[in-house]
Amino acid sequence: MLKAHRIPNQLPGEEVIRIMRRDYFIMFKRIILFVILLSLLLVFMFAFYSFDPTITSSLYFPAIVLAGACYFLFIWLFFFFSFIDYYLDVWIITNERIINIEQNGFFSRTISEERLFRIQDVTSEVKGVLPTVFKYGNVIVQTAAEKNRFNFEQVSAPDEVRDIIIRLAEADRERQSSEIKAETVGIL
Amino acid sequence: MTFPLVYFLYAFYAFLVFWGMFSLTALGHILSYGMKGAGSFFAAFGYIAVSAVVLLGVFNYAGTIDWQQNVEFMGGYINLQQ
Repeated sequence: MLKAHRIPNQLPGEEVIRIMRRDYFIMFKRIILFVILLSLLLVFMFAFYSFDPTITSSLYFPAIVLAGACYFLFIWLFFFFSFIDYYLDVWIITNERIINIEQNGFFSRTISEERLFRIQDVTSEVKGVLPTVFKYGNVIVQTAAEKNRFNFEQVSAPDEVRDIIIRLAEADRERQSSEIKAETVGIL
Repeated sequence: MTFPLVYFLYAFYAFLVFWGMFSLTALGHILSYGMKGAGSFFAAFGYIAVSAVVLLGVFNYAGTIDWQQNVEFMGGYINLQQ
């Protein structure tokens, strides 16, 4: 399992600054969908009982119970899949790197990382009514690497995240520059 | 068409086999790849707990049913017991 204090390929002196997932509102929408699907089951049960109040003593009632159990277990599993998809997408900012962990479906997982001093540009965007109201959006990080864009999707307070990354990237560039100068002086 | 009520139970068992496989896969995923902390364990425990309650309720109810009864379908013109 991924530990908050131990991240992939942790560098000496590396500290985790922030661990992010999608905004809670994204999960809230999925919970609402589950509640709607569950309420359909209750509506059908009520409809069956209203149509025939003696249905509980009917020969077909066990089959109806089993069908209802199948439906509930199916939507419960579907909701759990949805939660896992939300929970396993993680973006980590440390004082050395940004790390992008994405679960794409069930049997596909991508982990990308980039050093802060290679970050060229950071953009935050909030598009739409709900993102504006609930203050979540995307943070797009442009780097000089082969995968030149990291996209932090639907994270909370994207402006704040952008500021953090920019500040850390500048500090890391200065540190890298100082180390190179020190090495150059040492050589000379 | 007439067939024993137990056929529905067999269909339910078949559904449980596939449901169980996917559930185990999902639990394995969240415990393997999730962050070590309350979130992963609480989610896994919550999923197992709710599923267990539903299954216990269904099996308790199923224990009170005579599954060898025949149910009639389509007017009883086809009798699968013959």
